[in-house]
Amino acid sequence: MKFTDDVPIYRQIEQYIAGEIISGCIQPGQQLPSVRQLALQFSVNTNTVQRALREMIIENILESRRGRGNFVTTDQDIIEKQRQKLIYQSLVAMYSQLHALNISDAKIKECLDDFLIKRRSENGKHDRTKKCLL
Amino acid sequence: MENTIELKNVSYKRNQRVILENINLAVQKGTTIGLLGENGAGKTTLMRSIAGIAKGARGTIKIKNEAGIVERKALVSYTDSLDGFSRGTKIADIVEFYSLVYTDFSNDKYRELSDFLDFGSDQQKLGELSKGMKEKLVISLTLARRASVYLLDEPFEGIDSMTRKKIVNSLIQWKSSEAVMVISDHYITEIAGLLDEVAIIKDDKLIAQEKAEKIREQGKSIEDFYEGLYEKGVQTDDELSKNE
Repeated sequence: MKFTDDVPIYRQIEQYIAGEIISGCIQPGQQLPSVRQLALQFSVNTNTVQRALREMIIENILESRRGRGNFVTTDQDIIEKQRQKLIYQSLVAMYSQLHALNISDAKIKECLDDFLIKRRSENGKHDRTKKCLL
Repeated sequence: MENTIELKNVSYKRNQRVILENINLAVQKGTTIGLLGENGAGKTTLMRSIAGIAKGARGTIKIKNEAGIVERKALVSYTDSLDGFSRGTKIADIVEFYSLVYTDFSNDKYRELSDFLDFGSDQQKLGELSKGMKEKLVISLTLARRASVYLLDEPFEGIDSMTRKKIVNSLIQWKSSEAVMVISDHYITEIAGLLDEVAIIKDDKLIAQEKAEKIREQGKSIEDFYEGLYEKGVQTDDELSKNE
């Protein structure tokens, strides 16, 4: 797992775990690996992992059960909210890049529609299953 | 929060030459801190002073509130370069020596570490080890003590990247959550993820101490932060008074 060094690593871990939950790699109600196992997997220190998990517990994405570890919420509304958040963040990133190239909103929409049609026709050729890392 | 390491106005001189000047540093329980600076900036002397090996430092050095050298030595595990042993010494004999000298040395922990880092039979002689293997041995010996503070003096110097990764993983896996770890280096990228804080030492002075995530929150990498301070140069008091 590679992190960008100019964004807080705990934020990147939060996003990564949220991504694993949204994509279904980690199921609602499932237990997460221990802090130390996660730290080893990410090659970061345990305090950083702990901070990421703490933030996710505050946001109710994870539930901490005393002495048993951390579990993914079973509340679908919370997971759905996270999905919306991630979609929005990805769109903002894409939009601001295209906007910086002075491409109009109409053109962006047109290109996106074309792109989706093209993808659909290519789908048969690609393996669409996501690799789960956690 | 409790400070595990506390340095107040620590200075060190050798043969009239200033090596450390007025160092103030506080490190909280459980922190992993990178001590960064160029060669000759004073990193090793600072570590040896904290460990109680370099004698004659002025000012206050406290480890868990203990200022005495004997007490400090019992609390601090420092990466020894093993220069005191002859090239013909077997690894097994060095391990034996460690378990006799340090009451907090755990043979079990040493076995786990040496198996994980995998540097071969303990019947090998010190002189037969490659640089990477010797560093793995040093790390295993250092972390096998149940110490409050681990001081790792440039553990990645001249080490290939596979070995470096293995050592990084051993640090993540075997550092207890209460212990403080100080890692000195002049090359930062590969260990950036390990660090809670960085302290930067330049021209015998500690010029910055900052939380790693706080640096990243400002959109900077630790490397940017370090190089920024080194290149632009923080004006030291001496330089300021010269300009006046």
